[in-house]
This record gives sequence, C-alpha cells and structure tokens, in this order.
Amino acid sequence: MTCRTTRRWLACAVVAWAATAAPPTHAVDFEFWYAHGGLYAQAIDDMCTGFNQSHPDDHVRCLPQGAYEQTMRKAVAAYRAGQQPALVEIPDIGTADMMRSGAIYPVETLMRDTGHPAPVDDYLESVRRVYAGPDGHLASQPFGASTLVLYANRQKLAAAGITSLPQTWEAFGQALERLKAHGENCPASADYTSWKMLEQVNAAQGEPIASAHNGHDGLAARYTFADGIHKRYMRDVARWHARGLLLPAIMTHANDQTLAFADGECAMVIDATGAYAIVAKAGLVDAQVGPLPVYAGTTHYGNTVGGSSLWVFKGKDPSAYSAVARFLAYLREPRQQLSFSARTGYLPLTHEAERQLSSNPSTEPDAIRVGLASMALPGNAYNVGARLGFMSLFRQIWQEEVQRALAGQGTMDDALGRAQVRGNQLLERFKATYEGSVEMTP
Amino acid sequence: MVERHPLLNATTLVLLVLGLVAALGPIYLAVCSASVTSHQILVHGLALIPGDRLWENLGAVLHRADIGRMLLNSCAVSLIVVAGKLALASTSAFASVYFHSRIRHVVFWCTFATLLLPLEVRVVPTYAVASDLLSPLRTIVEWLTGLRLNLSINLLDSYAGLSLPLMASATGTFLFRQFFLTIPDELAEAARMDGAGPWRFFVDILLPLSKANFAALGTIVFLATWKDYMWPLVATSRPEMQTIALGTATFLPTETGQPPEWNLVMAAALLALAPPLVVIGLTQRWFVRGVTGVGK
Amino acid sequence: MKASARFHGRWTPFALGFPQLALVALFFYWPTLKGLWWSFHLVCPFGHCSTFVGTGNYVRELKDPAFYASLGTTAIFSSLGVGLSVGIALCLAWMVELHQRSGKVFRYLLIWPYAVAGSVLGVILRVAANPTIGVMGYLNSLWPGFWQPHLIGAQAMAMIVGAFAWTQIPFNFIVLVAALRAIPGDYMAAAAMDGATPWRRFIDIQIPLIRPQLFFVGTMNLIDSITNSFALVDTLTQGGPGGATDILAYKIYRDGFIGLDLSGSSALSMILMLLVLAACAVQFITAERQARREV
Repeated sequence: MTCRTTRRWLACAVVAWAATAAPPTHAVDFEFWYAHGGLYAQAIDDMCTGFNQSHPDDHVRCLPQGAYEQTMRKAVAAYRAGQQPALVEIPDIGTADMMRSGAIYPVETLMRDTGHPAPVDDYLESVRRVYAGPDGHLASQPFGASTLVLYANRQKLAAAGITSLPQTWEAFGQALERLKAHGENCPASADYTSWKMLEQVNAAQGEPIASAHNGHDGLAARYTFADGIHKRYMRDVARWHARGLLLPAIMTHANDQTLAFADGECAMVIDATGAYAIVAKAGLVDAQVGPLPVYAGTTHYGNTVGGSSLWVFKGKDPSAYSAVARFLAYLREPRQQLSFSARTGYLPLTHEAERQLSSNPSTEPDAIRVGLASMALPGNAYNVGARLGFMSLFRQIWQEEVQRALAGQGTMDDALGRAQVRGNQLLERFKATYEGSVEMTP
Repeated sequence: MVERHPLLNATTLVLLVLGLVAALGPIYLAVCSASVTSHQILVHGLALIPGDRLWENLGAVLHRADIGRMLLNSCAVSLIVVAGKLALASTSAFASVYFHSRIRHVVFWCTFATLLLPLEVRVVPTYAVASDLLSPLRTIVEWLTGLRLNLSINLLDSYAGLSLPLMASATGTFLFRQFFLTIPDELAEAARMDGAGPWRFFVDILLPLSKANFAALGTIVFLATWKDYMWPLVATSRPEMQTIALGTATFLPTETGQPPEWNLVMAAALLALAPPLVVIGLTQRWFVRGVTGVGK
Repeated sequence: MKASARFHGRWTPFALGFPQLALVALFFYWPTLKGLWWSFHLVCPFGHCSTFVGTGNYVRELKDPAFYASLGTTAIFSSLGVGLSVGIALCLAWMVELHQRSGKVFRYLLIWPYAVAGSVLGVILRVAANPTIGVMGYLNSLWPGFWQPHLIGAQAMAMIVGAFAWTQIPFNFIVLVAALRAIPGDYMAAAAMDGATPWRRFIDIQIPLIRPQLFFVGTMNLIDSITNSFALVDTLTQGGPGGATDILAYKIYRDGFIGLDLSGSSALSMILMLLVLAACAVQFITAERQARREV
C-alpha cells in the first residue's frame, strides 16, 4: 500500500516537474539544418533571409552542420534526444535510413495536411523517383541535385587534334592518349569516388548496382555490380591510372579535380553539373560540356541525380509545420530554384523551372543544359539512385578496395569482388537490423 | 661530463641540432606558409623562407572565422577542466588514502577502471549520454514507477558538455594519491591528536603541501584539454561553440571545387598553437615538474 | 600507511569522493553500459527499434578480415610509433646529458612541440607532406612518383608514425632527461676512471638505472597511440589509402558515427577494452616480477 502511494506521489512530483520544465515554444520559429559550406552555404543563407523578409509571421533559422555525414549523425542524435530541427538536409545516401527511421513526416503528407499541396507531377520524373516512398509519394523534398557530365578544355583538345567531344569511353580513352602524346601533363583528373565511377556510370548504362531494383523494392537487395559494365569500366580506369592519363586529384597542384580543370591544369574532367559554377567563376578556360560517355554500341539511358533532399522531422507543433510547409513551397518557387541553380550549379528540379531556364538559352549554363538533356533520355528501372543501407560505409569500402588495386595490391577484378562481398555483409546487417526488430515507442 | 673529446662534442652537437630542426621544422614551415599568398603556394609549392604577408593572413583568418571566439572557448573549456579536475582529483585522492572506511577502496577502484576504456573508444555512447543527460534518470524512474518522463537535458554545444566528460578520468586522482602516500604519517597522526577533523587536516595541512602538485597537474591538464580534438569534434555542431583545435581543421577545403587556401590554413594553425606555446614557455618549471611527477 | 594516520567516519570519504564518482558514473559507467547493451543488439540509428542478437555482433567482427587488418595496422602503428618516440627521445636526452654546456638551451627548446595539438600538426602536414606542393613535391619533381602517400600505404603509415612520434617525443624527453640527471655523478665518474667509454657507460649504467622511466614512457606512448592518434589520422589520412592507416580507434569512430553502425562499433569498443585489460595485466605482472627480481 505504502509502496503504491509512494509511487503515485513520485509520479505526481515528476509530472509536475516535467510540466514546469517544458520549454516555451515560439509558434512559427523553426530550425533548418543544412549540410554545406562556402559558396553553397551563402546561397542557402540568402534564401533563408529572403524567406524571413517575405514572410514576417514565420522565422526560419538556417544552421550549417558541416559535411553530409556529420549532418546526418547530428540529426540522428538530436532526434534521439528530442532536440531535432523541424527540417534537415540529408544526402541521398541517407534516404534508406531516413525512410525507415519512423522519425519523419513525409513531405507530401505534410503539404496536404497544411493546405499547400505539392505539385508533385511538376517534379522532373528522374528527380521525383529518387525520393518517392514505396507508396509513390514524395517522402522528402528534392533540394540539391546534380548529375555527371564531361568537361573538356576546348583549346587543349584542339591543340591535340581532337575535334569533337568524346561520346564513348573508347573515344575518351583515345583522347587521353592523344593529349598525353601531345605533351599534356594531366589529360584528365579524378577523385575516384563511388558516386562518380559506380553509381552514375551504371545508371547511364542502364545497369543496376544492386538487386531488388537498386534496393527500392526492399531489404532483400544485394550488390551485383562486380561483374557487369562496372568491371569493364574500372579496368579501363585502372589502365588510365597506371599510364598517367587519369591523375588522382591530389597529384594536381589544385588538389581537387574540379579546380585542376578550372585552372587549366588538366584537359578534361568527368564532374557534376555543379562544377560549372566553379569553372565559370574562375573564367580561365573555355570549357566545352558534353554528356557522360557510354561504351560504344550501348544505349545511353537517362542519367540519375545525386545530391540531397529536405526531410521534415516528427514531433513539432502544427503551427510550426505550417511554417515549414510555407518555407518548402518558397524553396520550390521557380524563382528560388533558378537563383540557387545559378549560384551553385545545382539543377532546377521542376518542369516549370526548367522551362523558364531554357526559354532564355543565353543564360542557361551549358552544364545544366547538358545535364537536363541527359536526364530526359529514356530511362529504365535503374536510373533511380540507390536505396541501400549503410551506404556511406559502402562507399568507403569501395574506395578502399579500389585504392588498393590502383596501388598495385591485387587486380581490379578482385578488388570489386571484395567490395561486393563486404557491401553485401552490410546489406545483410541492415536487413537484420530492421526486419523483425521490436518497435519501441519513441 | 667527465671527459671532453672534441669529436664527441661535435657529434652530440650535430645530433642535437638535427633534433632541434626536426622539432621546430613543422612550426617553421607553418610560419613560412602562413606569410605568403595562396597563389604562391599553389604555383611554386610550399614556402621555405618566410614572406611578408603574415599579418594580412592572420587578419584574414580572424576575419573569416570567429577565431577570437574559438580561442575563448578553448580557454574557457581548458580552465573549467583544470579547475574541476584539480578539485575532484584532490578530494577523491584524499578520500581514497586517509580513511579507514572501505569506501576508500570503492572510490579508488571505481576511478581506476576508467583507464580501461578511454573516451576515444567509447565516444559514440558518451555522445549519446551527453545529448540526453537524463536518460539514466528516466530509465531508473521508469523502472521504479513505470512512468515515462518527458525530460531531457542536452549538453551538446555547451561548456558543460565540452568539459565534464573530459574530467571523468583517473589520471589526476592517481597523481594526488601518489603524492599523499609520500607524506609522512606523523602529520596526520599529529593532526588527529590535536583533534582536527579530516576536513581541517585537508585544508590546513594537505593543500598547502600540495601547491606544487596543483600547479604541475594544472599545467598538464590545461595543455591536454587545449589539444583535445575528438570530443569537441563530436560534441559541438554550432560554430560559436567550437574550440581552436577544431577550428584549424575547418579551414581545410570540405566541398569539392572549394579552392584550398593553404596560407590561411597555416595561419589558423599558428593561432592554435601560439597560446599553449606561451603556456609552456612561461610555466616551464611547473610543466616539467608535472611531467616528471606523473612519471614517478 | 599506519592505521593511526587514518580518519574514522563512513560518510566523510563518501562525500569527498562523491562528485568524482558521480561524474565517472555519468560519463564513464553509463556510456560503457550503454555500449555493452548495444553490442548485444542490432539497434536502429534512430533508436526506435532493436533486436537482441546475443554475441552475433562479436562473432561478425571477429570473423571480419577488416577487423584483423585494422588490428594489424594498430599493432604496426603502435609498435613503430612507440619505438621511434622512445628511441629518439632517449638519444636526445643522452646527447643533452653529454653536451652539458649547451644542454640547457636544447632542454628548453626541444619541448616546444608539446604545445602542438595532433590536429594542428595533421593540418600542417597535410600541406607540408602534400605530393605536389609540399616539401616532398621537390623530391617528386626529381623522381616523379616517389612520394605518393595517397596511394602507397607504407608512406601514409610512415607519415602518421613520424607525426605521432613528433608529438610524443617532448614528453619522453623531459622524463628521460630528469631520470638521467638523477643518476649520482659518482657512478659515472667511477666508471670513467675505469676507462669506460661514454657508450659503455650509457649501456651498462645509465640504461639499466632508468629502466623504470623507459618502461613508463613506453606505456604512456602505447596508451596514447591507441587513443590520441585519432586527430592525426582524421586530419591527415582518414584511414586511407586502402585502409592502410585505419587504426582501431578510427574505425570505431567511423563505423559508429559516419556509418551509423552503433552495434558493430560498440562491439569493437568492448573488444578493444578487453585488449587494453590484457595489456594492463601483462604489464602489471611483468612489473611485479621485475620488482621481485630486483629485491
């Protein structure tokens, strides 16, 4: 009896304390965590300022959280501690985790609940598919999106007698040889990342990197890249590397593949559409932009996008969600998309924005035009991005194994095989983590 | 030295000078690179002689990031950790030496165990605790009463969060314990015979005797905290809470296509290493004593 | 200690020790328990689900070649790093002892590197050891492809071992100089009169007499090599190339924080704790045996 009384008394005291300890919330003030620095951060801050000025009743606080991985980790910790921001920018590799987190308020639902229905059909199909949940509805709002294109230094190519941009990997390899023979120190530079060499190249070739529809169909997905076109491509890459045709970025003076192209040190680079802003800003080279090459005799399928999207966390007031919805709608306005795109080189995301951009060809950056055209090519089931667990660890494993092969420790084939086996161990664990797990109340 | 050979003298001198070059080389290179333009490094490589742009570069760094705030944070956190650790270490060492009660063993061994799993390797769960300090309380209350509390304290991005986990270690307790064990028993016996309680003995006799140890341990803890990188890296997300050891790394390019400004990186590195250098220069005696004291 | 020198009372020592115990409980025991719990479960990063898997995480880590690779890397890094920092510090301390005329200046200057944090040194070396613009860039222009730490694992390892030794030498130096100076001058003078060269005196007299201090700095360096090397690896190599510098402490951080794999990373922490425990036990037993022999 006394025990129960004590418990009840304790419970009352605790509830009272909890009530007084609850922090007062301001109705329309919310946080947005983003994952960028430098140029990109300035562009985002300016959009935030613009929103706060045009919406006097709402106030968004935009806070930089470091690189992609750091932002993801901080968002996870913040959510667990009940300190999550209303809105967070998460890289595409975190999509699988976010969708299964039980922590998010799907964007399409949020927009409907708050009376700002999102014009979902207006999103470019190749963008929308990457962030749509299993039910086909957008789970997050696409934000920073880019895709791979080929940049070439017009003068250097002409000097080496190359008259047209390489359309195929065979032609790309020959161009590297000719540039080298012509005395170019750096025919091309690369930073050897999985996004550029595996995910993007396979999508353009219409090949999967993993089963189950690159993971979109569920937890049973397993990596399958080691034997397909990726093996052929990486063998070429290893050869180019060994012959000094494709310099690691750190071996350039700029220490960065984009800058090494932008300052005229390297003649070509396979880079994101976003690199155009940097090349144009440097203004040192006459850059020619073409689509990502594919192998001769194969079809170029539509490119996929990489980048980030905006996720809304659960656990906030309805009034905050209304403000978030207004902010998301604001970011989706063609005007904001186009100014963000112009400053950062990210792609416009909706048909309306694309129309406005292409209506004035003189202001449309070449890389964006080429990137959008690549994305508009007919796709198949595999240009949807990857939705796989422990993706950031997988990218590290891929890079580790490829670095070993490039350093001459074993063949590239073995390296890819090992990367696949290790990647599949991650996927098995991801499956075991989420499947049959006991749901705990948040 | 007993004998003097010119050859021996020359050899030792050469080796010492080599050691000195190796010891001060990186600092010298940092000064050189911090005093030239970014363009010069990118085009001509690392500078090997100092240039004339040191003040401009330092100014640019101070302008770019809130280095003043970072220095202040480093100072504040280091001083909090020094103060906290000195207080905790001396009292807990006192408790573990000067009492009959079995509690003294508990105090000692519970502290000792922290050596087994340094912060660096339990950083993930420690981060989880710091982000949600009351989770132990919630767990206990839920277990006792079946009630779920809706309470949380987040220590991330605060001075408390930056400093408290660094205090929870055994080194200071050890140092004081070692020292207390060398103090003659007669002092405590005499104090007891005079009717002094433990607190009086601690304050009036033990503390004055330990002055040098306080200074020595304080210096070492200050430097160690100043140099700590991992905990501030994970425990802060707001720029205004970052420490200078972390701030230096933020000058490295993070986004692809972000031009590296090595001269500013080096200038930031100089700003980060100057204050502890001054501390070592000024407190050489305490510092050396602290290091050798730990070694005894 | 004599019993008469101890105070009575049960609550005073508890009150004196309580702040320390509370802090340790909150920031050591609770996280350790949490890590232990995670290591027996598969936990979702967002904390909304968990599955008990028994020793599954341990079995998986112990079967993973990447774990042994990381363990091997840690062993190489620690042994080379400790050997180098103790060896060089001992050599310098001996030189200062031999060259007493200018020894004082060197004693003052050689400890300056102690002021430099691992992360700051890492950042400086990022530039200084860069294969194109760094000091090694000059070598690379003579022999192209000579210095490629981003590709050649041994060079990356050499870089972090050297950097680690650089950060540790001042501490070792101070301890060893103090130890050498504590040796009575009579010993050395007597040996010199017997015709012992400085080298023989060093080997036969000085080293045996400072063995406890050598042992001590070696142990301290060893602990630091497991824990404090994180800043160097993070700012200099990020574990690469090809995992060549992926020491355990860094792997734990990377798996747990970047990879959101709380379970695997916690299991690794616990394994590392057992290793440290084993190392402590071995060290304790060795020290005991040595002490007994000397008595």
